[in-house]
Amino acid sequence: MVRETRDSLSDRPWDLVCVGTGISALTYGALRLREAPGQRMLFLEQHNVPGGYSSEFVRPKQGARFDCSLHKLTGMGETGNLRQLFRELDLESSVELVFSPAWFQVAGGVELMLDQVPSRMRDALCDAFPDEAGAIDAFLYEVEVHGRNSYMQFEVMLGRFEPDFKALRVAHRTLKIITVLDALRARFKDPRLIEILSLPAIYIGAFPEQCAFLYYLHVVYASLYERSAYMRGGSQQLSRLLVSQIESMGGEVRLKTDVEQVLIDPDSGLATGVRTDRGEVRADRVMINASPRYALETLLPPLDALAPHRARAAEQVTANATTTLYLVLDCPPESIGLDHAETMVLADDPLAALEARRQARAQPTEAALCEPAYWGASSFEVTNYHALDPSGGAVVIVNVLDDIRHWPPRKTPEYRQKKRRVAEQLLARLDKVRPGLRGHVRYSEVSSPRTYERYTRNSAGSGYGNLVLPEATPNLINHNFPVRNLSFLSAWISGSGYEATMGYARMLVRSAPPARLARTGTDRSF
Amino acid sequence: MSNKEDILAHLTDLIVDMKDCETTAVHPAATFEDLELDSLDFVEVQVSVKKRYQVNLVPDLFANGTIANVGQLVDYIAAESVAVEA
Ligand SMILES: Cc1cc2nc3c(=O)[nH]c(=O)nc-3n(C[C@H](O)[C@H](O)[C@H](O)COP(=O)(O)OP(=O)(O)OC[C@H]3O[C@@H](n4cnc5c(N)ncnc54)[C@H](O)[C@@H]3O)c2cc1C
Repeated sequence: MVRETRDSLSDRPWDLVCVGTGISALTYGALRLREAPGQRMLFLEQHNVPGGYSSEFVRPKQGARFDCSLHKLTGMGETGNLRQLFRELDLESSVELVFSPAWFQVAGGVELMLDQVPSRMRDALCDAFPDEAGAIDAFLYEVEVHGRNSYMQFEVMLGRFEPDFKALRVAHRTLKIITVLDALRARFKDPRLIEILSLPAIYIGAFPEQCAFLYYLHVVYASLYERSAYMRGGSQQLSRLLVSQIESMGGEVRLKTDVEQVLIDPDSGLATGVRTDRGEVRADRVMINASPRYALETLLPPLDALAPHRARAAEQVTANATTTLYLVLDCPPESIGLDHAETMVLADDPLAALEARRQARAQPTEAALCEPAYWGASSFEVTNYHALDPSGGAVVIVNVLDDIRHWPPRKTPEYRQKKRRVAEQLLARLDKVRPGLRGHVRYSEVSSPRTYERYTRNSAGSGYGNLVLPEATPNLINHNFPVRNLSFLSAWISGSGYEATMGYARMLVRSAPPARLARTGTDRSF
Repeated sequence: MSNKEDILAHLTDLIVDMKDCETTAVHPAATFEDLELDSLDFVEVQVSVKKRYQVNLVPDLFANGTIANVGQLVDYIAAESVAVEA
């Protein structure tokens, strides 16, 4: 099992030291060690469990296990990218996948079950919105063609899939530059249908008025056409399995070890290791599984050569953080109307919600604007974990997209009051669509963006990295990065979600430069 | 035309076609940032170079800045395609 020792961290340089043990770092480690078994790799984690968002916490008295993030692994069908990666990692036999029949259930104003099988999900939408059948078919065609091309980006980069570049170019010129909201408004008339089809943007921490349509098409393609599944045992089990693989191949994972600084030699311009709260670690290569903004502001020295990168990282817009309400019920959630694994609760008035969010974004520290916008007016997501894995208890988790800037510091009376307010509001909204549910709540708890920031160190507490805005410049953090033996990997680089982060880690492993270049490529100084 | 000239001409055609820029904008010192190449453009360059010169441009070469401008890309392709032929 992972070590928690306080001994000094070895004088002999490691081949690689990694800051953080999120799912992307663990995937990278397990895959890299398979390819290069003799490598000495060390993974340092400030928290007392590995996995970052891919972890859980338990409340034994309540008989409850709360997953910090996972409710859907996309790309888990036979041809899905993540399924293939699970095979490469020999995880298939160690995990039990749960395929839910529903993509998601819709509640609030419209009651609808959207099937995971695209043709059945199409029929359900066409039954509910018969006048829009043609537009629904055209939309699903866009998902199949452009969503797929975009979904295959890492495979394309690895030379394993060649898309139709003409179609891809058209998509980049026309679909990437518009928001989900504008695209859906141009394609559909019914505001309810537009609101329903906007919902998957939540999976990437975005509201439909923020996110680029092409990226959203890829997310819809990944969950609908490449199928999504849950893992019995939850995300912590996935992280644990990867940790044990890393350890069985000679790597080390150390918990409760806070990396304070990445050490850079000013003469060579190269990283020489890291300083932690337990001493220094020397390494030939450093990898950072944390947000570039946090790394550039906190972990890296204030060298002039990094100034343009700091400025660029500061320009990126962070995806929304989440506030989560964890509930334990006194009965199976299915018995009170949460029939499927996932329910999306629609906004009462999507236009009013849009306007409320616009005002909240203009004054992001103003609680009187932000609370109604994010908690009261916008659509939100509810997961019935009991339906996915009853061994975790009668657990229901409610997620709303939120913004850290209107949350006061932790451990203050205002912070505690605010947590009570959010629990109250979300329960009231849930009770409205599933009457009586509130009376069955035996235990509740709230995580705010500040909680996430504390446990994962992610900038603004966001689990989704940067927003993929239509006008977004490509994430160039690594281009011309002056520290040649330092790289980044995480949702901040790859895009959010298990499939993207794990896929990016795999691409990094597969695309290591030829040894000759790796040697000559490290001689550049500041 | 030397191998390097041929490679530069090929890349120039490709980039002009992708970015609708002037031919003069593509020269050895032009960085990928100057040319505003996005991830899709990189992929297209990768595929085209693989087809024409059988050279594999692994993403890490761009990601870690080993190849950051057109001249470095030409040199890399020239060196690797010679290696392939040899
Ligand atoms: C509420 C929620 C629900 C989600 N649901 C899903 C879902 O159902 N399906 C899906 O695919 N995705 C989902 N996601 C997204 C997904 O969880 C994340 O995109 C992914 O887990 C991020 O992984 P990562 O590798 O970027 O690292 P992170 O999880 O951000 O981990 C970074 C790690 O680095 C450590 N660290 C940082 N700084 C230091 C330091 N200085 N020293 C030591 N350690 C450090 C942190 O403690 C942390 O463990 C969800 C996210 C949220 C927030």
